[in-house]
Amino acid sequence: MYQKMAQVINRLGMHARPAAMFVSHASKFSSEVWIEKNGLKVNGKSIMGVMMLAAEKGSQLIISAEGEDEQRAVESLVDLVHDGFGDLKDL
Amino acid sequence: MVTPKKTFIINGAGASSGLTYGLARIVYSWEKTVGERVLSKAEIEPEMTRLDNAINETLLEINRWKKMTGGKAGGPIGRIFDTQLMIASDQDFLSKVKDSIRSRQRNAEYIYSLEVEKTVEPLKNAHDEYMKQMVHEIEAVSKMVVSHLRGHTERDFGPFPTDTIIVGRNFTAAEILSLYDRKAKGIVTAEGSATSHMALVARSLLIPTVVAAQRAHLRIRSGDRLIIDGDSGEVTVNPEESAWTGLVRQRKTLSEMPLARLKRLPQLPIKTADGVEINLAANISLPGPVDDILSKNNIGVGLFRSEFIYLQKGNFPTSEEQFEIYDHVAATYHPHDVIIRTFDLGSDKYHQDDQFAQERNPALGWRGVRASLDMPGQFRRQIRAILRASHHGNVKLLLPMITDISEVKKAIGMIRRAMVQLRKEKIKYDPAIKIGIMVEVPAVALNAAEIIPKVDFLSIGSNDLAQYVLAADRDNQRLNKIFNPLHPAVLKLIQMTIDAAHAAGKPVSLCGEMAGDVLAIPLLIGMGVDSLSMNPARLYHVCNLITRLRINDAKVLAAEVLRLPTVRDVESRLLEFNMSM
Repeated sequence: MYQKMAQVINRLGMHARPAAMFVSHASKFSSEVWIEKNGLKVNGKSIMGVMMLAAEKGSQLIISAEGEDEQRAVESLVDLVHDGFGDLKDL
Repeated sequence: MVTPKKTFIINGAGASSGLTYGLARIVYSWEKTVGERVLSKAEIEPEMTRLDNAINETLLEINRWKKMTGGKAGGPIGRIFDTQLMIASDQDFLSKVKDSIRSRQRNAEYIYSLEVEKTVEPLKNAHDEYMKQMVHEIEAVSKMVVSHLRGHTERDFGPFPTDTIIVGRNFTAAEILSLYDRKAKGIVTAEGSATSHMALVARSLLIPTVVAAQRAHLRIRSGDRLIIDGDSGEVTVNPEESAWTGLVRQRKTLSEMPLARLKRLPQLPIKTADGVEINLAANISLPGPVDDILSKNNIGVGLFRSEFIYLQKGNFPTSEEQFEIYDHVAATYHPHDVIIRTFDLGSDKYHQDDQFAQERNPALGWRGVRASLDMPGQFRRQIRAILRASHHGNVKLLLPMITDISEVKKAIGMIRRAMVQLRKEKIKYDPAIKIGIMVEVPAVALNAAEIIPKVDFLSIGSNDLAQYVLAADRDNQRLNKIFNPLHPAVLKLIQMTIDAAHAAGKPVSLCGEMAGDVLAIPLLIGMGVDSLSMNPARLYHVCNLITRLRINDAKVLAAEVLRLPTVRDVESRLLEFNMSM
C-alpha cells in the first residue's frame, strides 16, 4: 500500500466536475484507490463516495492505493489535486 | 359572489428572462415518499434484477438527454449528463444498495432512496452553491432510478393546459428538458439558484423562470393566477383583476412559449414594407436547442456572451473546453455570423467569492477587456480558442468595455501573436477574422473617429452606454425614472457613433435590450444602425414590426426625434409612431 497527503487548492473545492475527473482518472489504474478526509474514507473510483467527502478548498486529503500500479496511481492523483483539476488560473 | 383570492408577491431571483402570466400547477416530485415494503427471501434475487433493469433504463434515459443537448460538444448542458451517467453507474454505490437490500429485506426503491439520503446528508450542510449542486445532481439521478423502478418512463409532469406555469420545490435539468415540446409558459421554484443546471436549461429553452422564490410551492396553490418576471424575480400571485386583464389584453403575444413562436418565424432576411433588408441577429449565452431553429431561419449570433461559460463552470475554462463550444456554435450557425464577445466579467457578472466581487463600484471597475488584458494567460487561451473556431464558421471577435485606443492596440497585438503561434503549429484559422469593439463607455462613442480605423466593426451595448451616460445603475429600482436608453443624450451618442463608423465605411450593430424594443426599433433603423441583435424571444415581434415599417418614415422619425428635448417627448413620439403603423 502506498499513500500520500494532498491539499485541495482550487477555489470551488471538489465539486461535481473535479470529483468526476478524479474518479475517471483513478479508474484508469488497476489498483484499488481510496481517498480520506477527516477520518471518512471512501472508494476513489466511486463518484458518490468522492462527492460525499464535500472537500472544500483547503481540505487535507489522504490518497492511498493498493495494487500493481499503486505508486503511479497515488502520485498522479496527487498531481491532479495539486493542479487544481485544471482550474488553476495564472494571475 | 366569489371572494377574490388574496394578492401577494414572492420575491425570488430571475433565472431566465421574460415576463409571462398563466395558471399555477404545483408539481411535487422528489418529496413524494417512497414506500417501504418487506421482501420474502424468495423475492430478494428478483429484486436485484429489477434494480439492474432500472439502472439500465436510467442510463438510456440520460444518454437520450445528452444526445438531445448536443452531448460533449453541447458544452455545459451536455456535460451535466456526463456527471449523471457516472452517478447512475457507480458500482461501489450499487453494491452497497444491493448488500443493504439483502440484509434488510426491503424493496429496491426504498433502499436506493435511503442510501442516497445517507450520501447527500453531509453535503446538505455545505454553504457553497457548487457543493449544493452535487446534491441536486445525485437526487436527479435517484429520481430517475426510482421512477424506472416504479415502471414510469416519464416524470410526474403529465399533460397540462397551454397557459401553465410550473411551480415546485426544485426541478432537475432533465425535467425541464422534458418540457421542450410542451407549452409550459414559465417556471417557479422555491429553491435553486440562477447558476443551477436547471436554470441553464430553462434559459436555453427560453422559458421565463424565477428561482429561490421562498416556499413558493407551499404558498401558491394549483390554479392560482401568476405573473412572473424572469428578470426581476418577482412572482405576483392572484394579481388584482385589473392588472390581470390588462396584461392579458396587452400581451396577447405572451400567450405562447417563445420557442414555439420562433419556429414560426418568417424566413430571413426580413424586409421592410418598402423592400429594404434589415439584418437581425440573436444574443446567446450558451449553446442550446434554440440554435438549430435560429440557424435554419438564417439568423446568426450578434452577441455570444462567452462569460457564461466561466459563470457556469465557476472558473476559467481551458482553451480546449472553449474551443469545443465555440466550434460547435460556429458550425451550427454556418454560414451565418457568430460574433463571440471575449469574457465580460466583473460588474454584475461574477461569483460571490471570487476576485471580481471585491469592488465597491464594480460597474466602473475591473471588468471586460480591462480584466482580460491584466490576465494575459487567460486572454491568450480565449483568443486561441476563438481563432481555431474561426476555421469552421463565420466567427468574429468582439472586445467588451473598451475605453481607450491603447487597449484596442494591445488586444489586437495579442491576437496577431496568437495567429503567428497557430501558424507555427500548422493549426488552421481565419486570417481575415473580423475584430470589433463594444461601444458602451461614453469615451469611445465621443472618440469613435480615432478608434474606428483600428477595427472592423462596432457594436453598441445600449444598456451599459445608457447607465454610464446617465450615471444611473440600471438595476437600481429607485433610479428607474432616470435610467432610460431613450434619453436624448444617449440617442445623440448613438448617432455620433453611427455617423463616425459610416464615414469610415464600417458597420454598426446594436445589441442591448433596445434592439428588441418595438418602440425603439423604427428610430434605430432610421438612425442608420446596420443590424440589431436581441434576445431570441424578441425576434418574432421584431420581424412583425419591420414588415409594417417604411424606411423613409423611419428616417423622418429619427430626424425629428433627435431634436426632441426630453425623454418623455421621445417616448410619446415613438408611441404615437408605433400606434400609427
